[in-house]
Amino acid sequence: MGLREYVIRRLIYMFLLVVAVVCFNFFLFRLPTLLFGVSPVDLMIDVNLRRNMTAELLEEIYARFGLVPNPDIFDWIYMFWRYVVNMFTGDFGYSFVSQRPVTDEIMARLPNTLLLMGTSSIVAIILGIFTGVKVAADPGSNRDVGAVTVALFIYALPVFWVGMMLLMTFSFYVPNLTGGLIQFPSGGTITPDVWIASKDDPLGGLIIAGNILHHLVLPMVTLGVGGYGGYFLYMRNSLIDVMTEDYILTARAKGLDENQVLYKHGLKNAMLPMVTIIAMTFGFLINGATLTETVFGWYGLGRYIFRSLIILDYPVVQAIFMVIAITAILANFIADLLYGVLDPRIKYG
Amino acid sequence: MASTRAKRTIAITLVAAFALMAISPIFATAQTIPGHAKTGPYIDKLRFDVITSDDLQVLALQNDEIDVIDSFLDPTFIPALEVAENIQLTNVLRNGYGFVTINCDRYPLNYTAVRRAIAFALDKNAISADIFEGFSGSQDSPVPKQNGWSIEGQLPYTYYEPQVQKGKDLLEAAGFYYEKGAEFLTGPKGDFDPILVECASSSPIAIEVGAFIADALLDLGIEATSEPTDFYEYLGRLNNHLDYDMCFLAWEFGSADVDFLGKEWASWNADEPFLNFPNFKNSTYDYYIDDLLHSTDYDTVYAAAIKLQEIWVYECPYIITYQNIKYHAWRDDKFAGHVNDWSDGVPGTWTNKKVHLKADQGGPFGGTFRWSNSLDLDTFNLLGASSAYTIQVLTELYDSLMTLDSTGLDMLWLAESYLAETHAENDAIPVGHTRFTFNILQNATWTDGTPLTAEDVAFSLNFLRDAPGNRYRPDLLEMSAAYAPSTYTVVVEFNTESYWHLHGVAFKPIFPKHIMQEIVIEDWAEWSPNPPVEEFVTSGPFIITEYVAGEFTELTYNPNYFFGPDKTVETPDTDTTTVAPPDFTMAIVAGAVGAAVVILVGGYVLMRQK
Repeated sequence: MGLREYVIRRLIYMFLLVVAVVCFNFFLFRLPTLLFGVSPVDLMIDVNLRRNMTAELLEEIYARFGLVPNPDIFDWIYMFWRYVVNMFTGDFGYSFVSQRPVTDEIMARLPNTLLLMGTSSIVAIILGIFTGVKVAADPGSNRDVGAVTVALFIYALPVFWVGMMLLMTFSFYVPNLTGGLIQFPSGGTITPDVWIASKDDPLGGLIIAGNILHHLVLPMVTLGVGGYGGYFLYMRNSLIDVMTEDYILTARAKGLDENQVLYKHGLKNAMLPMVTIIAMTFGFLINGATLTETVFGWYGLGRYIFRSLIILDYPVVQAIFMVIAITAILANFIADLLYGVLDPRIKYG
Repeated sequence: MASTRAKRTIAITLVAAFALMAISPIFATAQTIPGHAKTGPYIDKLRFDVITSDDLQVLALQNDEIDVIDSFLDPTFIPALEVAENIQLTNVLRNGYGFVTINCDRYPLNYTAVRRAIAFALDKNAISADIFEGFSGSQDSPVPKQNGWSIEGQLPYTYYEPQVQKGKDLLEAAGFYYEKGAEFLTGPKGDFDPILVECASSSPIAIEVGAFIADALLDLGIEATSEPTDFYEYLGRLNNHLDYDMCFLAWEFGSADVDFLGKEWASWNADEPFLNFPNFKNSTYDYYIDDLLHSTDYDTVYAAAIKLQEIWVYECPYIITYQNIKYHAWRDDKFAGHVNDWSDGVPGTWTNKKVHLKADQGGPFGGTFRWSNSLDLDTFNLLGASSAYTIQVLTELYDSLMTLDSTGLDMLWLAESYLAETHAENDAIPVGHTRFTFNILQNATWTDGTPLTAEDVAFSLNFLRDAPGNRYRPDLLEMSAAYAPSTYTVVVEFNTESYWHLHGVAFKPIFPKHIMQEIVIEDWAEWSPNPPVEEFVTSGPFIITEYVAGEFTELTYNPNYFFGPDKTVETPDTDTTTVAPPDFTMAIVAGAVGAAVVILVGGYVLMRQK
């Protein structure tokens, strides 16, 4: 089978997978309703409104959110059909809470999430690969054992705890010790005072960019540290495996120096499994980092997903999960194609 | 022996000192900020920074990034903040409580004796001491104790201390007994299943309270278990009157009104969704509901409220488990004049109106007062807002006919005066109807310069009554008409009589007619203002001048606000945390007392000298 047939077959699989995800997505977020009869309306009615509730008002509230009280099987079929049509036409509907289009809500948070996840992933990948290669050149050495121990330790640390420690250190203790000379923001994406002051400044854009980067440092380091251990261990193990192959022995027998053997012959081949991992990482960039975004008050999709799940804001969570699922499927598809292109031994079939 | 001259000097000094004491209250009241009780705001800007977690809020307060934390503190932060520089802590009783609802339809909980026995056996004081480490108190009445309508402390008995023997006696008198060799009681109508106490699995406090209640039941000899359950799962069951024994919940009230005593637990609401969770039916209780809900005479309404609470506390459809104390933290280095509101505490609308820069900061006018906001604004449409964090920002943009002052009492706001009438006072009013005539202020304007008139008030009330599914609608369902016979007079008529109709009307936000009439009433929820990019016409003390989604909302002082201070008046700085209006009665009383003292002491000294 040639590349064309392979791509077509993969595209058909992808389409079927998307259909399955769409169906699964509908039921996943309605499980509390299906199993326990919990309605998002229950969650939005506070004590003062509840005790003034009339049957008429309740019906009106359900209608406002496009919901059906105590739905029967026909109501479920109707809701499912409406949902499927909306999903395939890109109509994600309106958030129950803000009454704004879900697409607008997602787009408002997406740049922040991509910035945080993108920078932290790049830092973690580069550092992981670099240090992984360095220690894999001399497996079993003190440097290797030390680096593996440190990486495993870091890998095991809860990311929210790392975030809190960094916050406490660099937003409280260090500023106190240095009289505010070294201080990182205690949360958020921008400093309101800086934002307001920069509006009248000709270099306002640069000032805001600098301020956002200042806010980015701690959450980026937190996520970078969290991801680093994994990339390091993958890279190291993959390279150590490759370095035992016959073609490495051949390279050495040819009299190539060790750096050439390591980087030209070893690293190139060891990178193949890393490609899949990196592609998948970028596929999941969009889902944000719920814990890190929560700890640092970062205005991103991760925090939004969490809050929307808590209050059963179906239109939001189903839209975000749909987008995440599709990007993950796409990333997987791209990784498969890349793998085939990079490794001539792979045959389509 | 002192000379005559010395005695005279002493006498004159005493007279002067007492005279000063006598008139001092007048000087004391004169040293408050200018204007009257309604005057404000004094600050230039009010900013709500979105800071979602408790840790970050405390950190931001310590780092001088905010001036007040919007929500109440986790008590674990209190020791650190107590010793922190420039940070003050104040507290206020929560206008709400935690409780367990008891299914009065379920045997043996349908016996009053069983419910009372549980209440007697429960150690409420231990809940406060062990779970809340003292940051909470015991409560029996369904009306929080700081509310003037509450009977807390007025009954001849309380359920505060554990009185297990008293509970056992009640059960025995009701026919509960031990079968031979049995570990647990049998009821007068035979065996019953173990009682299940459900509590929210997401809340450690709820889980601990659930365990306390199960222990109380076991102490009485009733088999019981406590089980953490998904909160929304059992809330759904309670809302729809499905199966349960006992469930833990917590309430927060938005006002001091007690009409809920009539709406919540009426027998006819025992099967209504969302109402009467315990399925409570009591004909004596029902008897007083009509007086509470449909009388316009304060004494009758008050007597009914007292009687309903007495019956309720005796019958125990709920058992109130605690009333916690809310601690608030705020910085005192730049601003003074914080108001510890009876319900909100320091982070409330009265602080926003009264807080002012200290003299050493260039005060009293100006400055940016910074709040944390635990969640970002969901919408700028106040009608559609459901989050308390959105509402606390948007309420700064609108006014109502009346409001509550910082002690919880009614205060006229947009209304200068009002007249409440029924057929008894005015023959022109149909029997059974209530009519309110409000005269409103003549200097109020919308932010686009349009005068705020009675037309706006009448339009708003009609809009709120007719817009389907909006949260303000239930109070206005019995409103038959709202109209403006003149520019500054609005008449509101209800087709029923009730003491509570006044609050139902007077606390509603007033919207600009010239803007809102463009909105199709059925589509009110889709109205989505986008300030400051688009003009947002409001009337309140602040205007939205900056909004960055997820980061902050900046409000700026409305220069044309009808209760805005005269900024040309120089204001002395005060460090008080409460602001009192000039009190001339106090000055007269103090003066009279001082004068009496002066006459008596001075006369005595002079007589001695002679």
